[in-house]
Amino acid sequence: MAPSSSWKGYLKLSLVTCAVAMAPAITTRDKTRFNMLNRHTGNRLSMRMIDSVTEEIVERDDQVKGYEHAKGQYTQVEEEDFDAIALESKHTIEMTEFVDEDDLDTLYLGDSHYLMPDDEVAIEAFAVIREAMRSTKVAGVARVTVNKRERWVAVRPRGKGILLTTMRYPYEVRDERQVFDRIGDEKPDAKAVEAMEEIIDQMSGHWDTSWFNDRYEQALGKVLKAKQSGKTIKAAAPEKAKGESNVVNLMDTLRKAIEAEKRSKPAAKKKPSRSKRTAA
Amino acid sequence: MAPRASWKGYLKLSLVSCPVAMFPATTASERISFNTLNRDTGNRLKQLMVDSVTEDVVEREDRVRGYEFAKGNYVTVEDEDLDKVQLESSHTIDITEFVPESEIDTVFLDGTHYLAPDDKVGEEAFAVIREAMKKKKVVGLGKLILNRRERIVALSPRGKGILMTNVHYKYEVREDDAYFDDIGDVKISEEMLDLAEHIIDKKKGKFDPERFEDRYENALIEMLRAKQQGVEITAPKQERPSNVVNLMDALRRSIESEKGAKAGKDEPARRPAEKSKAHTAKGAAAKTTKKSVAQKPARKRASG
Repeated sequence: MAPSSSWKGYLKLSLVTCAVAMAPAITTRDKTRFNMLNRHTGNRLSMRMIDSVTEEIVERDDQVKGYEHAKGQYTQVEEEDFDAIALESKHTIEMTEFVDEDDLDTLYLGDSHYLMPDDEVAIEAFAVIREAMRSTKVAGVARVTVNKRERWVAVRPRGKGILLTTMRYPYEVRDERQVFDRIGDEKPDAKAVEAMEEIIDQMSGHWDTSWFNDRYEQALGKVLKAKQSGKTIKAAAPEKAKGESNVVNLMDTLRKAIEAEKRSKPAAKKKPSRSKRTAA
Repeated sequence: MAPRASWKGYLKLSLVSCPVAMFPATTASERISFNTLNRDTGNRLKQLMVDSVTEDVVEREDRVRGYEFAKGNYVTVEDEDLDKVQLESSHTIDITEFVPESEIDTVFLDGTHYLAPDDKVGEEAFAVIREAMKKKKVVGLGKLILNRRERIVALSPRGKGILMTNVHYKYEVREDDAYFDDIGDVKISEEMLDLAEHIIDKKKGKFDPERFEDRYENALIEMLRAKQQGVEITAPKQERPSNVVNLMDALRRSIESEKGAKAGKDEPARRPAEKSKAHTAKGAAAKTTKKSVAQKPARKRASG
């Protein structure tokens, strides 16, 4: 059975619309979570808001959002004020523009969501939109309003479904020139680059998510198990950081690296696993 | 002014390593943020943790993490317990393999950072790694330990630097099969596909994030300004669409309507009708200055 969706609305291409359901592709469901407890009573804690000056508890009804327009000076903003500017959700993902999918800059990509037709009637229009995007190798660009806020999103075919990815606004992305401009312009030695390409070849494989494991989470699970059964656990001795010295003679190091990679089992050459499903 | 590095360490590929500095590529600092106030006094609020049963205030030293292993049953977890799960911290981004950039599944991509060499000596090795990746059209996958946790990262060349993107762990990404397997298979006619492709062609543009304006954020700025001046604000109204009834018909009519709409290409970013004069001016400024200083809210303007 398909898991529940978080949002329902319409996918729109010009005058063609179809009912769709959206579900987040990312989940924290399986991550270990803690609650804060009172050490003495074992009870959960709850949070109260108090006035920072009078120290009195302030109930929800008496709380208001404040925008600090000058140091220590606030404009109070009520819910009605937010409602007044709320972009009423049109429940529509209207693709107003298409771009080459290869041109999408991953720097702007946010969270992904899965999109599927929400009823039988919608399947055909959904499939037409999806297949037309696939054959033209484009991503649709649209605006979606969720929780009053408008995001811009990229819409791409994915298997029998559609992938919707939120995009960052330019003001949420730092100008890379602030960081990269001070890097020297010298072209690296061509021979060194060639040697590096050889190393890359030896370490090349395919996209394979099977090793994307959270070792911390796994170790944490063991500790929690042991605590429950009352065992004591030894602290794992953190490995010493191994020699991280600078490369003195780059070309020399590259040659040694090529030899080293030849000897080592091609760990990277894993089975070309279930790679991304654009081709379905 | 150069931003401050959030992390410094080494980029390592086989036997080659070079010192690098990491900078967050995204920022929330330009976004409007609010504090919670006491409506009656206007004072800021602060949080107080109380025992949910006794309502007693619980000070920091009396608080402890609890892991709920069964409904209502907790095992307490001290800082020392967490120290036991410490992973070796090597201050190294260790590239373990390369994959063709075309194979990257963007669903797995998370936060981004810029990576730059941290000293002159390291620049050559850095440039060699960057250029070789660029030539091979590959992305490096590696591991890095940050705040005790091991992160998987993807490295790709970007200008003179490297873009480092966090990669979600497998258990954080839902398999799409669960959602997509139920979608019925339909045969779609060539003619419909042709029409849809035609509409897409009409609406084809260049990827240019600079054109995307956060209309909500801008409305928020206007609202705050109006509030400071005591002006009333009203909400806009919008209509709701429905499923398409005759698909072939809708496709044909779409093509007709796209012919009419000449300005279709510039349409998504600019909707002058919905923008205030103030923002039209800003939009133009943002185009040239890239980092739109103009997006900075009333705060800047009020104090400066």
